[in-house]
Amino acid sequence: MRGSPLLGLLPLLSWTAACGPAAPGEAPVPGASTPPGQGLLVVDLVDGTSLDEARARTGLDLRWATARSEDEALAVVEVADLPAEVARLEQVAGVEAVEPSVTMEALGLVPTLRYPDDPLYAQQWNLRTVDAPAGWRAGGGVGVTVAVVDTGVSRVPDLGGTVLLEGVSFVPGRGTADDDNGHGTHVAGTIAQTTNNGLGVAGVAPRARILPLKALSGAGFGQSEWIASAIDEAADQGAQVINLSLGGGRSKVIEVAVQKAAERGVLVVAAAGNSGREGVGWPARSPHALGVSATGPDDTLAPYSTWGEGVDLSAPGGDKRKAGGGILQDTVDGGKDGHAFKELQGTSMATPHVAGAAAVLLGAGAGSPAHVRALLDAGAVDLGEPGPDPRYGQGRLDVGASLRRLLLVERPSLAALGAGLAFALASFGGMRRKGLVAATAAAVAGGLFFLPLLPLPPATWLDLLGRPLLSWPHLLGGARLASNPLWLSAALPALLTFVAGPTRAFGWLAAGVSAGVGAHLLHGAVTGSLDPLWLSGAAGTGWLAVNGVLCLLFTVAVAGVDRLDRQRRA
Amino acid sequence: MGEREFTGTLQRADLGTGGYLLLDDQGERWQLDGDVPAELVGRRVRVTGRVGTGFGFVMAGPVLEVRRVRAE
Repeated sequence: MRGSPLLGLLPLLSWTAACGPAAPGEAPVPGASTPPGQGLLVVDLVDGTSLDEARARTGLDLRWATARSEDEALAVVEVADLPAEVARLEQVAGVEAVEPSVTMEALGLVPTLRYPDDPLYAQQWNLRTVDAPAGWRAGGGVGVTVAVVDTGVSRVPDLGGTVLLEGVSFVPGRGTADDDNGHGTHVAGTIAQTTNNGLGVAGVAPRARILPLKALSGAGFGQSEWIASAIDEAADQGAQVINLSLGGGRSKVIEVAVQKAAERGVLVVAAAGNSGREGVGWPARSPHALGVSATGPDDTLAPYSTWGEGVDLSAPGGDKRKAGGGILQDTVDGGKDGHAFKELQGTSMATPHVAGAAAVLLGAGAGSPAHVRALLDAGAVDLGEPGPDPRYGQGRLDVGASLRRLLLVERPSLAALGAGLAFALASFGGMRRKGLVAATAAAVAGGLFFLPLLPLPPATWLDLLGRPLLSWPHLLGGARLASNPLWLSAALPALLTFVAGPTRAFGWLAAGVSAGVGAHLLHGAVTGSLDPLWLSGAAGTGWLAVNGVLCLLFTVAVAGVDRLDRQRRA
Repeated sequence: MGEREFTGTLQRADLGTGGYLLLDDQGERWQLDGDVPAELVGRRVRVTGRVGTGFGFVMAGPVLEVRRVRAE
């Protein structure tokens, strides 16, 4: 991905992303259609150049950039084609420097540039509608694999910086997962189009990895066994999200595959259908899949969208009756370039918005598919009838609101829970340094969620400290480890308790980590925000609860050892 | 299920990257899987084929596996 220095700032900006709608990089008006390349050009001329002279040299209707710019001969002008004008003016005598105007905004202590620089982003009303910029600032789905079960995915130019894993084809006679239709590549683009690469368009979760699984032919059709096999493959390869922009009649084989994937901790997102009527198709109708209906630029249900039981959420799918109302992405095309930026519409286009949002939330540390669904539901903008309804489900996707729920509500709550439990248990056990124990527990349970406020250079260790200890493996590329029952257990606190607990120097660390992990495990048991692999339902809840209580007992034990040590020395 | 003949109007579906639909005389909408002559879009046609079990991205009705499409 180009522009990595700026991307590196994204984690630092996540607090700002979470704090409100006025953030950089957001185009101001949903549906605005600035032509590609149009914008403000800054021209720095040789000092002393007059305005008339500057206009004559450049052939542009320049004006001074500010009231004090005449001395420096710094001028600006709106142009229709920024790259062409930059190239032309660089050759003009008397022009010292020329570049598109860059928006620098003070964001607390962290300045940022205009983001993203994809020239067609202005036409992506859909990304602004769902507040995709908030997702970019919160990591953009880093470390998360999204399987796209579709017509295949080809590396078109605007997927140039996106991680495409080695695909698999389940279509007989088709050896590779290259796209021979254009549908799957378009869908993959909405999920993870390379963003801020100065080319084309953006995607919801540009740092997510795409796993192309071809289960639809070039004509756009596929048999149930191809699709079921692709779903199994996605789970086998460790995908955390599966995008199914496809549907049809009921298939037990696909239903079982979806259920198995869900039980293995994979979030399955599926299109509701394009019948324009009531009666959601399969697999979206499956209780184990998240069914998505489609909205247009006016934030109402698109006329083609199927609705009814099985719609869990809605997202922009486009409405081409309105100019610029489709969903724009780069995809394969039979033309001479082999690709084209195409506007498409359908619940197929709505579904990847949700899959991308799920990747963003998982990348930001959401602990389970149930947790992701809860965050998506909590953040959704209620449309139609008040409350959940058959047309919009819980409402229209809002990535920013879901992230705010995670970062500004849940994380501080977890930190407070950890601190409170630690302080109470340390006090109960008679431990010294209770404040340190409580602070440690807060940091372990909720992460140092204030870190994004600080003007520190981007670093993985900052990303880690900003999130709960139990979600560290997500960031380190081991999503399966993050759900491993041994990780979601009292094992680490036990180790610390036995190694560091009896020591005077590090007893507080053992007590704090134990209380923090315990608080998180108990919170996960109650809310479903943690989902241990292989342990479904009550078994998983019981595992988390028992281990959570064990962790808290470790804290009491360390506190007791500390008290005995103090008494002995006294 | 055996082959049958369906009559109705051939339509182009602007859904996803597109597909063909048959709006039959009973008001049912079918997705057509197979070779469909684009020049017949908008005309009444006779479609020979069988009801399919496949899945697709058009999602606008049941799938009809097409053997032949003729203008009526």
